[in-house]
Amino acid sequence: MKKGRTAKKAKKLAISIVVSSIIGLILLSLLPWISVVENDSVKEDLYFNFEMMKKSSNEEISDLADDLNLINISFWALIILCLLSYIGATIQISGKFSVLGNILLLIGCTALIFSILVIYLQLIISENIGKIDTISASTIYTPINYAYILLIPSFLILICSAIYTGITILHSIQKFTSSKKSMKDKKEEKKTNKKKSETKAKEPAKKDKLALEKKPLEPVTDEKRIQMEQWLTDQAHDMETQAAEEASLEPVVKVKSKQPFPEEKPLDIEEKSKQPDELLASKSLEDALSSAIQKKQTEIEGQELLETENNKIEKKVEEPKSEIQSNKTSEENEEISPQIEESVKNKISIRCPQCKHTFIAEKGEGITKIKCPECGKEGVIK
Amino acid sequence: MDYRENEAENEDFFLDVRKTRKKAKEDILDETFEKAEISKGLRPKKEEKGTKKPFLKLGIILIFIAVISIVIVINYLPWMFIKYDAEYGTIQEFYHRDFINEEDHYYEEIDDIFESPCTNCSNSSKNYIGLIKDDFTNIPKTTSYGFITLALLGIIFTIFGIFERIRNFSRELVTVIHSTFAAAAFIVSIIIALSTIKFLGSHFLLYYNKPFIEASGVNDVILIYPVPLILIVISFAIMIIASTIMKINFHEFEKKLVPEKKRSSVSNFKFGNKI
Repeated sequence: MKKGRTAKKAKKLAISIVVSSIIGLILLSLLPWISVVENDSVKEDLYFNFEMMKKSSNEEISDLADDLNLINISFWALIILCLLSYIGATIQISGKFSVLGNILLLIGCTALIFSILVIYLQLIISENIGKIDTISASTIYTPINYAYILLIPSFLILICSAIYTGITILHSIQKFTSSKKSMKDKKEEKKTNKKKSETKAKEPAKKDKLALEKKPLEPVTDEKRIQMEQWLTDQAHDMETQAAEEASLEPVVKVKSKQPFPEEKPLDIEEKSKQPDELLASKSLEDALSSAIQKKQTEIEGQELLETENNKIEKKVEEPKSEIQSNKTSEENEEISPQIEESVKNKISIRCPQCKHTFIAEKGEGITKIKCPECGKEGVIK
Repeated sequence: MDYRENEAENEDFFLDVRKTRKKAKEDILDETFEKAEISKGLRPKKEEKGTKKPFLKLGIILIFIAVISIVIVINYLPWMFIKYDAEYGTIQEFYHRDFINEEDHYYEEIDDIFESPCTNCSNSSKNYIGLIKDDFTNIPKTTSYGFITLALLGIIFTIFGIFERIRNFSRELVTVIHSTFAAAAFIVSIIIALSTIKFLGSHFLLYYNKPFIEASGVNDVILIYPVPLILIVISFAIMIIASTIMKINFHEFEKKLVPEKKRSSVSNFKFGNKI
């Protein structure tokens, strides 16, 4: 259910109940409820409204007035409860104090009891009026009694309160279940977090312990250092030779792979970053080197030594790399640039005057015919 | 068709498209960054345009209405105007609260308005229109108590409004309290309206029990209750004001829910989405 939907509905229903209760109260005090046949000087029906009934000396009439008083009280209760539920709806839609809002909305559910009570009391009154011989229900036009008019707002209240209770109870059940689920999830999360934190706290301690245990056992010797240096120099030499070989092969590959796509407009920063690295081959060499270094590192386990050696390797690698790069760029520029220039000159981006579609067309020597791929309009490039 | 003329135009078009795309992306990134900052508490939340604090003049309105009602309406205006033809001529009189007429005459001998002359009637009522003399003393009291409570509510609410400006409570709390006060005013105004509505009910009985009234020697009776009518109007006005305030407060929160939905579309943006 969407947020605020129940609150909106509850608000509407509460308003309708309040309005009908007020109407009920007004009718209760305005309408003449009963008529009594007087056999004194005037032999006609004397009409009684609620106020007159309350002040009557007749016990039967005053009993009926008591019942009407109960209806009066129930209408008041309905008004107060529905106003409370209105406030509850406002609180709930505000997002804050949602518990209070829910409680107030649930309090409004008791309106159903009072609405049933109102109808029940009215039925009892009409029944009691029928039982007493001297008293009759005052009528507008036979057979419509004034007493029945009050039943219209009462039934409206009953319907509204029934819908209201249904909506609010369903909503509160949903909320209760969702809150329970969220509580469970939170608890689980807390548990997992606790476990993680415990394991994290234990791991460094273990590592430290292991390091402390291992360090004194395997001291770094001079022999190992010499071995490492030798191996690294060999690796650097191999890398140089490989790079030289690649450099000799690369221009051919580049020419093949380079496609004349002059239609590609100057790329964005993102696109530029995505451009393939020209030194892929040399990178693979680098990777191989680094992996080899890593393997060696694990063998020796001398942290200090590794750092220094790594620096050395980097220096050694950078020198041939820069050399290769400079060679490559010069060669490429020499070979590819005239081709690119030609293709760029030949390709022209064109916007169709009919459909405004932009497309790239290749310009040939002299007049070339072109056709819009979108709308099919034909044209000529001079 | 010469396409060369369009070449420069095309390039400009591409540039414009790229610029607008970049701008939009930057804006979205800025927005998301700001939101992230707010959510992490690095930046204070901005007050939204539609989230102004509620109108806190309800208290002043209540005080104003209550004072006018107590001082002028209940005490100085007539509660009943009666005109009838009797054996000794046409009589028309104004009755103020406590059933005192214009000449400050208090009718000690009268208990009920249109008292029943019937003494041996088994089912009779003491009066024919449901009003007794005590109603003119009790109802002004109850209505004035009602207005006093309204004034008190107004005073408390204005004090709260002043206190709110110093302490600066949350918008939700202020609105909820505002609605609660409005609801209380609504209930009090219903009490006032229903206590005075019995005067209107007497009009019905005046019509229905006309034969009995005429039998007691009074003809062509015209009854008007100026103060009860004014009080009913005032109380209904308070009811409408209170209900509109409650509605406004509710709609304020409703509005608050709507922009969230709109905002969500922006917050869900991921880098690389089409704008």
